[in-house]
Amino acid sequence: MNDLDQQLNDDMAAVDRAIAPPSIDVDGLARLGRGERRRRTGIAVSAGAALAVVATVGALAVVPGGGPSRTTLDPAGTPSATLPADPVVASGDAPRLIGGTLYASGASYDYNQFAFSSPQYAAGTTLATVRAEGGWHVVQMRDGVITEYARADDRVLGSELSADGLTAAVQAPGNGGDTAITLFDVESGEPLGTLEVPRVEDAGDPSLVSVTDDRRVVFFRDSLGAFIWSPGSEAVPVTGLQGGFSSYGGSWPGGMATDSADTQDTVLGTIDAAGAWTETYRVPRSPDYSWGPSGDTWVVGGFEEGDDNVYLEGLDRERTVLLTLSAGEYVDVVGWESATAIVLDVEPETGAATRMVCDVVELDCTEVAGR
Amino acid sequence: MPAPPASYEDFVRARSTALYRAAYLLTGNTADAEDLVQVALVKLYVGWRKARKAQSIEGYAHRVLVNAFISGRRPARFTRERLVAAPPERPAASGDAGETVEGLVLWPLVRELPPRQRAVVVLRYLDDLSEAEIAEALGMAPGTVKSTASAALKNLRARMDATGVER
Repeated sequence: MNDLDQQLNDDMAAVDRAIAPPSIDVDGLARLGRGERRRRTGIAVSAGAALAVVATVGALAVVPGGGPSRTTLDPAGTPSATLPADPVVASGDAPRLIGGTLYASGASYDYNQFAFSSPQYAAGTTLATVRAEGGWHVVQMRDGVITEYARADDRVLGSELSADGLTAAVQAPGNGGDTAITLFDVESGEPLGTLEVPRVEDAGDPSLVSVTDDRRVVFFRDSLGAFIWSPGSEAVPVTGLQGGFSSYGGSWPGGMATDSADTQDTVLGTIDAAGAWTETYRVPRSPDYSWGPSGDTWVVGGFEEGDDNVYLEGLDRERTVLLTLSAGEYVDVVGWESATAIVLDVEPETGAATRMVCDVVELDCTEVAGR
Repeated sequence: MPAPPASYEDFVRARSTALYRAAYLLTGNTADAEDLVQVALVKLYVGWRKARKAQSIEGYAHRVLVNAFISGRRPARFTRERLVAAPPERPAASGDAGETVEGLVLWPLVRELPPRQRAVVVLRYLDDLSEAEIAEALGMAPGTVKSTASAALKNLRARMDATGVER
């Protein structure tokens, strides 16, 4: 170590010792975080907005056996909730969070707080893990029907939705501290199969990573790595990941995304039935990719200062301007309505967001009527 | 491997002081450090599900913090209120802890470095991270870390010469 190195070490250590950290308001940070998450998927309600009525709760049907409890709620019953009609009428299927209620697909679900994820939305299906009366719940909203896939008193549940919006994976408490992962057919609400993941000391609870369109689930265990499972078979470890991975980057419609520890890329790859990983693409690492259902395009905001465009970008790195924001505006992706239409909320610095549906073929965005 | 914190709140209670220290050394003053750590912790809340999937939540949080510093962009959607439970005891009127420590010759020059160079210096000399770890934290190639560190040291030496600081 030379003199300059030593001087830098000494100065940094001296300043570090002199720092007097403030007392952090943890609850306040969580409150801001919740607000931020709500803003990403919902729209603020203007005072005095007119009210409309939607129907919600009706008959219950509990599915017996094996996996998590599942309750189907028929929306044709007694009206139990109201929502503003204008300018934030909940028409359309994509989810909105308004005043403690999740609205999607013409139905509503009261909640206290969301788990650490916003509702997922794809092709008319909303999947959300929420804390509501009676504990934690995983609920699906589709075609006006609310389906509760699981609930737990004291353990946070997890859920993931496939890119085509047709398969849901639910993580719930299993037997004796184990974890149960169940795949559901979204259209029927019926379970396709359940995997009991045994508790392993120091391995942590499994964490859902993605659900592929061909109905396989990728999950991650801290010290054990990634696994893939499909109903009717055993879970197998994902093998062949080259060079180490710092984290699992989440869903990619073609397979799985990971963050490479060796490069600054997000690596995309497919996984075969035996768990063998095959790298297919590398893209610049980004905290959030809003992949299109085909897995070859995504929507991303401009990163550079002064770049107010929202781009449609492809694996060939060609990018096209999809939308240009005004100064101070941000955009949040709600989900993909179809292979060619994406739902966005454009958020001004203050005030209510505007919901847009953008056609990624015509590169044309339309404000959703009535909002 | 230690068990991950049960909740975001547990993590913040346990590690926010360390993040604040890093934020201070990056920004060089208390006001910006508070702002930066708040931005980072709100982003961490939003991305908590992803953070829990990372090998190290602290590493993930550190990366969020440093990237927020380098980008210099404060998302408009974040509320600008300061979330401190009580007024902090400020070590100096200017908010620079370094001003309360005598004999510091390099700290004032470090504060003048461009953000990316300063981040590399802080991670290398305070956190004692390797080039690979700095590359991971900053989202840059290891070779870029090496060249950035070299540029930072060259910059510091030039400033030392210009200001008459002895090496």
